[in-house]
Amino acid sequence: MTTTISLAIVNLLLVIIVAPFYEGVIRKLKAVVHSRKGPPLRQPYLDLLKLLGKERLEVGGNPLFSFAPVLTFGSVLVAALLTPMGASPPLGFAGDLIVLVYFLALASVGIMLGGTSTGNPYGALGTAREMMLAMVVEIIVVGSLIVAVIHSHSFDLMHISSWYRESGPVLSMVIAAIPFFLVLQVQLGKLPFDIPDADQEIMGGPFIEAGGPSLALYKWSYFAKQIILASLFLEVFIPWPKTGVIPVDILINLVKVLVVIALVGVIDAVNPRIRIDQAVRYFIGIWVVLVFAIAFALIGV
Amino acid sequence: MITLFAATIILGLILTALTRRSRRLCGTIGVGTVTIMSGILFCVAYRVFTGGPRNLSKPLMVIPSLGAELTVSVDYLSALFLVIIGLVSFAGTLYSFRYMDLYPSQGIARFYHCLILFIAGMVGVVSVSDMFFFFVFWEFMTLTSYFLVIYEKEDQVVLRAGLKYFIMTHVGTAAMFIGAILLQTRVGSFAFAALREALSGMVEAHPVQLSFVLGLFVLGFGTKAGMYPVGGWLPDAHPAAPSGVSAMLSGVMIKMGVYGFVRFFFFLLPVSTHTFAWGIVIAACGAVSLFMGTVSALLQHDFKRLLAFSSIGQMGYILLGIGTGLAFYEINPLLSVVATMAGMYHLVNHAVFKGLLFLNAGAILYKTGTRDLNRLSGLYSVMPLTAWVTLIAALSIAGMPPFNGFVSKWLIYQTTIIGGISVPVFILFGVVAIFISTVTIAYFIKFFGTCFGGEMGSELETSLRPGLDVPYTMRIPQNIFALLCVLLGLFPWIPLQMIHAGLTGSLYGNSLPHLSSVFGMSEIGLIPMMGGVQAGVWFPLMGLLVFGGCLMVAVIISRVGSPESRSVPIWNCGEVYDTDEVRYRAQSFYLPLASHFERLVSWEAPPIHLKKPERIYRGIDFDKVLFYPLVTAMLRFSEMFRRTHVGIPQVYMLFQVIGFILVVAVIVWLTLM
Repeated sequence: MTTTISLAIVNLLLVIIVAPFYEGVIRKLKAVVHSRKGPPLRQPYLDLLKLLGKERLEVGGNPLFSFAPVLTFGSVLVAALLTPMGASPPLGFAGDLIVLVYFLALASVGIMLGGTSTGNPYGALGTAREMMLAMVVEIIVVGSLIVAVIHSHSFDLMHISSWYRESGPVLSMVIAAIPFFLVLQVQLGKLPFDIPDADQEIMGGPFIEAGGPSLALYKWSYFAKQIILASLFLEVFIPWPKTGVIPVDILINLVKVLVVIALVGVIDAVNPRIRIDQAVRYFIGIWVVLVFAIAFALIGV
Repeated sequence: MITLFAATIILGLILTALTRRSRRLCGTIGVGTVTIMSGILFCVAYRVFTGGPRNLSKPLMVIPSLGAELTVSVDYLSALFLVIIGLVSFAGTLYSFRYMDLYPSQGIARFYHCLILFIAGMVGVVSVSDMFFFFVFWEFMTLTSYFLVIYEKEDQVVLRAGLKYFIMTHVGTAAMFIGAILLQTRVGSFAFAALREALSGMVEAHPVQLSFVLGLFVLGFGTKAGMYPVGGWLPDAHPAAPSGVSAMLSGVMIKMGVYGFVRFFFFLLPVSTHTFAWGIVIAACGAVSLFMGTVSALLQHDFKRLLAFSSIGQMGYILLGIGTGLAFYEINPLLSVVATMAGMYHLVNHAVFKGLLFLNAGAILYKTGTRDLNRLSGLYSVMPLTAWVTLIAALSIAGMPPFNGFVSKWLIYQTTIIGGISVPVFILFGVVAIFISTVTIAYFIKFFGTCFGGEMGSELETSLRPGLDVPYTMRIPQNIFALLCVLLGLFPWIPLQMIHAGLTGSLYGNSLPHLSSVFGMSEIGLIPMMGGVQAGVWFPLMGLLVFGGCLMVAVIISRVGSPESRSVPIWNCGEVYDTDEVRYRAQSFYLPLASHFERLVSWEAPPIHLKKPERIYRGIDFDKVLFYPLVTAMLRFSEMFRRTHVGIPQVYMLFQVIGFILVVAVIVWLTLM
């Protein structure tokens, strides 16, 4: 009981307090790749603090507009409680893998509700793009996790992770890891797939009208998602090394997450943005890889 | 009970007929009648669930020459369906009380007559245990619903939709009837018990004939259930009907097809290799219809049509669930029970959230007078309640936690994927189901965003009915359904207990596992056990508690800087536009993706140069090759008779004489035989 509660607090602190630090790392890395000096590592914290103090703008009198960021951030926090971050997921006794995926989807729904609530054409356009990407991408997330489910016969993340840790690298899991990694770019809103909120093109899409605390919550959810998805990826597909001592495992996980996020950042820094139809076609191509992974898993390799 | 029920119906019919001059009075009597009927249904269901199945001691009517007996028997499965019928009928009728103001030129008594008989027909379908009278009530239900669909009888589009509905369901019913007759000829009785004997006799002796009969039944029930492709009547007929009736058509009537599937395949068909084969067939039909229905819904701009297509999709989930249950009966009995119950649970949930969505669609139609999503915007300011209940229903149907749709879909994913480990094709079905769940979110974002988001256009503003939201008799049913969406999601144990009881006497027989050995010991959560492994876990109350806490954290964080509020207009990057001019309309949503799907769901020839491709595509269009030719043939046949009516008495006399001679000749021939 005490372990669960302390793990819950650790997970929440990680996604609320530590997450902006990773964003700072990405920004710094991106600046280095671009031969710039870049902002200091604490810049995301300063941004969030400043946004929290700014005035709250009400557009069109629709309360969904103010509710949407709360819904998004709240769902992301629940998702954080369902994700194993080095140790077992604190809310694992009440929800499994599919519950986690659907709370992440609920976060996207929050963004989309906010985007369409104002009637801003850029907001609606960004929402439609976000939804199109979600349609082709969500199934890749679930599909690659299904490969693990087929092997471990369970939807319990802890069970999946410990199965893979013991039975070593499996071909189908290695294949399934590739689509999942490629999808991280979309889920975290990074280039070449930051199509829904393309700042230079449609001024942030769903977030165009959001300002002050609302924008802070949206940004924060994205930072939190970085840790959640990277941890999920690592716990399912690269669960080594594990010591069994919970604080050490959490630290190891944080370092691993840093590596994954740095990779995501580098891909973000060296790529141009592609069009939505190109992205859709690209991910439909990735479905084929997934089919192979599932087929291999079914024959047991 | 049954006399009281019949008396209510007859009294209701007479009184509505007498008061047809006054719309309000007639409506009050109609609603009152249906309320009493629903009350009786709830009462019967309660007595069955607490005191066991109830049968009438002797049949109400016997036709010895056919071997048909009108035996009324309400078991747990029937009781479950009676609850759904009672609930949705009451809500739909109460809703129609004011909604029928939309049709001032149509007679109101006609509507309530058909409605009351329609409900009676559905009640009959689920509570008889004789195939012949099952058909009688089935036809009763179909015909009355046909008249409800074509209620607006001057509109050509509505009539066309009604005709399509009439023909397609009757082709299905005919198939089913042929199947039943084939069985009846073996045992000489239509009683369910006798049919079971006939089926078990055929398993060994005539497997091919049995498959043929089962195929006919799948066709018949599938047509009613809106299964793809034979459910093609659904997207035309549902939007044509008044919205309260659409809710009942989609909420309960198409569920009668599923009742047929369950009654026939789980209660009558003996366990054999056929169980597995037909389980896979039903699951595959479910997977196909959930894909095609939902993807078609994505491309619609008429919101009632969108909801009708979505019904095809959701029926696909239900069929996938019960098909999986049937297929895994021998391989993995626990998984089979979970899958069947998941399908039935989704049926209950679908009745609630699709009923709610049709009521909301009706509210929008009532308020604005249009069904075109491209013309709608900013309705939140005039109908906030409808907006919130639509959001709840949309999140439920999209399977978002903690609402009810999530729980049933979650169980269906688990069973198909775990089942797929031993029968791989189910992995495909499961993945399709998960993919389609995202597509469901997509069309509801489009529906919700374009209806309620943004600012209202000036053209729309002038055409609105006065007053905030809709009349309260329309709001009550909306609220009941919305509340049920939440409660059924938070306390899944209650509906699952009823469904579990409903499976008593099915093919699981005495080996039906206890509920706690399927879903774990805790009554506030579900821990499905399938074949010795704990597959997943979901505690809705715990989830809601944590979710609420997290939302509080989010609110606190957003308030921590104590920011001030200020109202601002929409920011179009500094340009000044009229809102209507730059609005992002429903038709623009998902265009790049739609191009991938359009070829799948519309019947236009692709740009590939096959030999005579158009002939293939024309062949798939059932409207053109099957249903309309049938209608024209029928009309031409009737035309022949019309020509004989020349209006000269002598000619009629001649017909009579010829007829008389023929009859005498036949009788003489028969006696000589």
